[in-house]
Amino acid sequence: MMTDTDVPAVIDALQTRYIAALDDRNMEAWLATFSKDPDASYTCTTAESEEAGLPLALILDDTYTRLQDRVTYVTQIWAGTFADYRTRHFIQRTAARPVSDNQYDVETNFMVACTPVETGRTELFMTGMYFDRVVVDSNDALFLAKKAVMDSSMVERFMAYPL
Amino acid sequence: METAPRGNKLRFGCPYHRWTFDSTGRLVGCPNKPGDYPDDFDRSNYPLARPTMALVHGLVMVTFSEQAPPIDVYLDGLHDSIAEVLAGDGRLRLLGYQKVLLKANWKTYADNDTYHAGLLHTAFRMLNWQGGKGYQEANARGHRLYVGELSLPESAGRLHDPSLIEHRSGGDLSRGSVSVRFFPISGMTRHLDSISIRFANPLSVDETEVHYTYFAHVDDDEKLIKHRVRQASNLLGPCGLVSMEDAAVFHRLHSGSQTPGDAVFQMGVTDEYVIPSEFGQSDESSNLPGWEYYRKVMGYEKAPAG
Repeated sequence: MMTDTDVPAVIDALQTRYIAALDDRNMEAWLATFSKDPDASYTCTTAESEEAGLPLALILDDTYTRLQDRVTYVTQIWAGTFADYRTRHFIQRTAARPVSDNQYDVETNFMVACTPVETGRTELFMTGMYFDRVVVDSNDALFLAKKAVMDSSMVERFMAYPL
Repeated sequence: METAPRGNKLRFGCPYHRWTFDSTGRLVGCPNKPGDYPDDFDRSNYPLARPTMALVHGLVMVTFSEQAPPIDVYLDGLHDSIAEVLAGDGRLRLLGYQKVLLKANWKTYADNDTYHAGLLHTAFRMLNWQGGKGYQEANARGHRLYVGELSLPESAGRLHDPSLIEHRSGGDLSRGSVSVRFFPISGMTRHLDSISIRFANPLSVDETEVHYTYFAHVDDDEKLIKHRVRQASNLLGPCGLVSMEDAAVFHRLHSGSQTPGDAVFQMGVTDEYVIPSEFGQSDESSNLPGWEYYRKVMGYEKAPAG
């Protein structure tokens, strides 16, 4: 049984694992931060769409199998077809609220820098917030639902990796 | 006057002199005290600029140009194709936007956004989705129609998610992918159940902004709407399985265009002094009528034959 004080540490460790996986461009490690619940999901959308109540997203992987497909897109279907880029994610948890015995709603600011390999020039790529439903078990935490809400209404150039 | 990207308003006010305009652009309020304005000042002489507007199958087309021709002349026979893209009758419901800032000149975007589907997209090839034939037409104003026949495989291949290749809204798969591109740059596409208008706006010589705007049909049930949202989110657009490559390639082409030399269209060109109106599915020569129209409008001399 976890003590209440352990929960934020376990949630933060999950978020850290998540951004490390993305910055490492390791999609299998990205997938491993999600629960294998069939309804596990990842969504990337904009604050503009959220505020307007528009359902369309930039990425809408709303089942675990679609999360698996996302890995296939990046590692197999798109491999070698786009000008690659490095990312650097920075996060700051702003809220964590229990919604049941073992689930928490977690809000986290994010900032992502992007370095396209072809220019080698680092630029701010995106800021926004993660709105996550996290399942916390004995000593681990996983995303049941992760939603990245971009501050910018616009993607610059293209986005091959999830945020 | 107005900074909101979307919304509804009946009054528009300028923060400087508090001039207020109604929704038809009429100046209805203009606070002043004696001597502020000339004696013959007449509010009716100062409306907002009044665009010319036309409604085409639900699509509002607007221009501030006084030289713009009547809409039928401008579209040059494209009415039915617009209806075909916009779910048959244009009775659409907004699902949302995907907006992208392409680091490319608008001409690079305009030249390469349609004909390339069968050439570029690894996804189509790897998943064996590119089974059908297709064709392109272009009229004298440079507007283009692209029609692609789709033959869908039994399964999504190495993907688990079948929704990307499902066709649930009915209709003829021999015209499963239909695009209309208006010269110079905006366009619209219906691919399977995804209906989108690509509003494009050149921001600078190096930047083009495109708003992919997606729709469902007003008669869709909730299940079909959900399917359209999923397919539109994940198939086309700047992160879409099929289209993510587009922006990456536009940028590369734009970089290439900075090197010396001229851009030359080869694929589909059979006689370099004839500009046809019908083209194969992957012919880049479908760009030629648009640039010939551009040449005339801009008053550029044509190099003599031979």
